[in-house]
Amino acid sequence: MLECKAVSKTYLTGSKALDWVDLSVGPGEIVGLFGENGAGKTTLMKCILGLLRHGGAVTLDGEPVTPKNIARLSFATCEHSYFPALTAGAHRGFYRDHFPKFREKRFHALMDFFQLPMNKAVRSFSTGQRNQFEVILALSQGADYILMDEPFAGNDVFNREDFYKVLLGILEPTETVLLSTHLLEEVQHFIGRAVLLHRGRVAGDVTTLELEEQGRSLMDFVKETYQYRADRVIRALNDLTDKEE
Amino acid sequence: MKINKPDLSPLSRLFPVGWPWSDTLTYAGLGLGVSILAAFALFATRYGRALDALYQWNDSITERVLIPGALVPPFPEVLGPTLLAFGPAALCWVLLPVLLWLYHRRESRSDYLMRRLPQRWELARRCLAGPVLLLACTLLAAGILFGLLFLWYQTATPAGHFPPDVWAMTGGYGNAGM
Repeated sequence: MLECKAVSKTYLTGSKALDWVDLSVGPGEIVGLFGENGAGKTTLMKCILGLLRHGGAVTLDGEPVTPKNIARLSFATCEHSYFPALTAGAHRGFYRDHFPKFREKRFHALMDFFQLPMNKAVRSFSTGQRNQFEVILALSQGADYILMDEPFAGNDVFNREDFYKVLLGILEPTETVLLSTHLLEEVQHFIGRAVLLHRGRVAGDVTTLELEEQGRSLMDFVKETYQYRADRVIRALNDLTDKEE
Repeated sequence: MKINKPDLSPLSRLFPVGWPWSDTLTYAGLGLGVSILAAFALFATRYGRALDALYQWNDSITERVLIPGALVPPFPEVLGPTLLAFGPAALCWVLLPVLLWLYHRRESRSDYLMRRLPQRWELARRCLAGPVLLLACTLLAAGILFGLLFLWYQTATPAGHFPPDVWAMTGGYGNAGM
C-alpha cells in the first residue's frame, strides 16, 4: 500500500503546490490522477519519489520511502529521465545493474512491440519514441508501483490506444499504476479509479465502478467536481462581441 | 556520440553515465602536461637567473668565475609562483562537479533516475569521484615536481653558495650578491 498522509509542499516562491494531501493506493490498482495545470499532480509524484522535500509522510507498506525500498517505485515522466547519449541496449545494462528485479523479458517485448532500435542513442529517437522508451523503462524496472506523469505527451492517438491495450495485457495483478494525464476520455476505460486534484488538494476520489453505477462518465464527474460552467464560453464570446459592437 | 554497451571500465564509474570520460582524461592529461611544462619553464628561468647572479666574467671575458660569498636565494624564493601553473587545472577540477551535475539535466532529467536508485550515493559519487581523482593527480604531480625541482636546486647549486637556510622564505634573493 502506497500512502500519502498530509503531504504538503510549498515552493520557495511561497506558492502552495500541495495542501494536506491524503491518498492511499493499494496493490493492483490503476489510478488516474487528474487536475488542471498547476493542480499539483507532478509535484505529488515527485514528493512520493522523494525528489522534492515536503511536509507530511509517504509510506510504502508502512515504511518511509528510502533507498531500501525505492526500487519498488518507478517513474515515467514527460521530462524524461533516461540518458540521452546511451542506446536502449546500454539502458538495459544499467537497469539490470541497479534494479535487481529488472524485467528483461518485458523490456524486449515492449521494445519489439514499439519497434524501437536497440543500437541507436536515445537522443536520436523521435519525440513519440522517447516517450515510449521512458514508459518501457518504468514498466520494466520491476517496480510494484509505477508512476507515470503525462507519459504520452507528443504521441499520436493510435500509439496511445495501442499502449493502453498493451499495458492492460502485461500488468500483473499486484502491479499498481498511478497515471497523471489530461486525456480523460482516453483513459477512462483503462483506469479503475480517478483522483482529482484541485489547487493542491484532493477534490475528488471515485472508482470507475461507482461512476458506472451512477450512470456518469468520468468527464461528467470531473466537470461536476470542478463546478465547470458550461455557459462560460458563450458568455465570454457574447462579452467580446458586445465590446466590439 | 552513442554508447552501445554499459561501460565496464572502472574509470567510467567515476563519471556520470554517458559522460565522455575518456575525452575528459585525455584533456586532463594534456592540461597536466602543460601545467608541468609551464611550471618547469618558470622555475628554470628563475633558477637560471639566480645561478647567473653567482658568477661574474673575468677580465678576459672568456670564462665565468664564482663570486666569493655570493649565495643563491632560498629555495621558496626561487620557486616563487611556479606551482601556480597548476592552478588553472586544479580550478577546473574543483568546478567540474557542477558541470557533471548539470549534465544530468541536459536533454533529460536523468538526475531523477539517479536519485531514485537503491544506491543512495550513486549520483554524488559520479559527480565527485572523477574530479576528486583528477584533483588528487594534479596535487600529486605538483608535489612530485616540487621534489624534483628541489633536488635540482640542491644538486646544481655550487657547494658553498647555499644560503644559511634554504627554506627561508625571505631575504635571500637581495642578499645573494645579485
